[in-house]
Amino acid sequence: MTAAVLLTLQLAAVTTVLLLILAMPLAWWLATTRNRLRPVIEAITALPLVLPPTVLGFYLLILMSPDAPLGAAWVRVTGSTLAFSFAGLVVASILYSLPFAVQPMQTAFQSVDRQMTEAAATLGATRADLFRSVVLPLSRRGVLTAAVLSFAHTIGEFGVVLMVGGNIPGRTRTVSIEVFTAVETLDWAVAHRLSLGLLVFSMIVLIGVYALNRGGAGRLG
Amino acid sequence: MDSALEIDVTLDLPEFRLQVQEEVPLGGITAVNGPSGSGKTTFLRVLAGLEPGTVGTVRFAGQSWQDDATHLPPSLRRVGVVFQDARLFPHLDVAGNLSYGARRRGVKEDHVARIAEALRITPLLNRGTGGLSGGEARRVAVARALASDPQLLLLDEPLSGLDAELRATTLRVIADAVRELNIPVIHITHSPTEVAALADRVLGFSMGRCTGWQTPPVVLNAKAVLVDGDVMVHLGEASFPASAGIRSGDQLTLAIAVEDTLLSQHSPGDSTAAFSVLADVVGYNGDVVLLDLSGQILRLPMSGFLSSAAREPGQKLWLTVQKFWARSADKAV
Repeated sequence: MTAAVLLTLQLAAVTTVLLLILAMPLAWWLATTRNRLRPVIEAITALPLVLPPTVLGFYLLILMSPDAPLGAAWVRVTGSTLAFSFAGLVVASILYSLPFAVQPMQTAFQSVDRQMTEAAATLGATRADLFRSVVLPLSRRGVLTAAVLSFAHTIGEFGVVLMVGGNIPGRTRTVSIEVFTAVETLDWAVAHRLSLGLLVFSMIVLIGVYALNRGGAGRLG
Repeated sequence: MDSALEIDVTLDLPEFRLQVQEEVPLGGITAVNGPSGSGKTTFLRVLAGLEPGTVGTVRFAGQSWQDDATHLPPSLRRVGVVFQDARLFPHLDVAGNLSYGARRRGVKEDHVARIAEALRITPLLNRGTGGLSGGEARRVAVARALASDPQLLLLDEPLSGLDAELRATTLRVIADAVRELNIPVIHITHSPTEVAALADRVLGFSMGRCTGWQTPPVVLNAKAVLVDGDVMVHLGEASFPASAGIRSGDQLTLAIAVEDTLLSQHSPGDSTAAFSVLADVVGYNGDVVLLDLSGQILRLPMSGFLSSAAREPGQKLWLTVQKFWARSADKAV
């Protein structure tokens, strides 16, 4: 049980960090671009919200198979398969939680007054510089919300993890899968403890997010 | 021309077209004067590089800011822009706002301190921007723009929304600071008082186009006095009714557009003009006549309809003013 909890926390932490690094430029691009492809990219980003996790997991499994280019490249570089590994879980989690990272940041970036970025530009800031020095500080609640939601969503995922990672103790068996296994083996005590833990954790996270956003409505930055 | 801003641009926006072809000397303060909605702010945004749809050329002192192959981004134009609203960064304090541009352009701290001093904001440096009054925020915005070491300062009605007294004092501080730093200024305004107080030259603007150079307004000092219960403006030997809101004893500044003046050898008698006053001719230079009005010297364009004898020093001429803007110590009327 402890192994499952540690694995889940590790997966959530790695996913959140990588997701912020990847999603931030994407959110900034979506918030500012006039490109006609924007709705398409937005739709792809939001797809995990509506797609059954099993469908996403199925396609990922195919992509990660040693016969597919991605899976083959991974085998060449690391010597092991991407599917049914921790790295595979990270890849799947990043895709599965992508909307939870992109959307709060995109909304926050869009709500930064263009007047502020224009003022920064006339004061000598390049595009990257004004993002770092003006947009990011004024959107820090959005970034924090994205991080918290990504972390929590990764902890709670089940379908994708089961499809891509299977149920290997200590390697891919996360808390939600441990609950599933416990119920299947009629180990009610473990199922109760883990479920209650996830419930309380999720509640705390959501209260935190709502409190964060309510505080943000009253004052800037 | 190396000491000019050469502009030949077109910008098509939804339901609005800006088309400007003008050469603006790079020295002193140039006012761009025109009614609201005439495209003055858009013009300023084009100069700052904030309108990517602009077509044409902009050359600053021989350096191309924009042509067929170039569109220099705002960060590389070294223009200081003061927008209508101060646009201070809310996540930085006043000192942080000032050093934002200064750091990026390698301006030394003592120079920033000198600018803060000139704009009288040194006591505000450690404060957040949230608690600043309107006048303080505008002065900080001007200081922030100046601290970024601009080669051109663009002011977009930086005093809008302030009351008249604050406008007058803030305006004086800004004017003194930019003259001390010797930075050319393009100042957008629709206020004749601001034009009169600041500008070395005035560019007219209407319907998205420059309408040519205007003569800066004539500024006269006068005094409001009480005559038989009515507040009257006293100027030379003339007395005429003051506008509402002027109090007896107020020292007034009258701004008069040259187009609203008329010179004549004979008294115009009763007319719909605001006032007529007799002045002494003290000199004549080209098309300009110099008049002495109770010790105040006025420069006015001389109409060809007046005889050459009328412009000889020692002659007296009637100055008729159709309308004027008066500013007293505490409010504009």
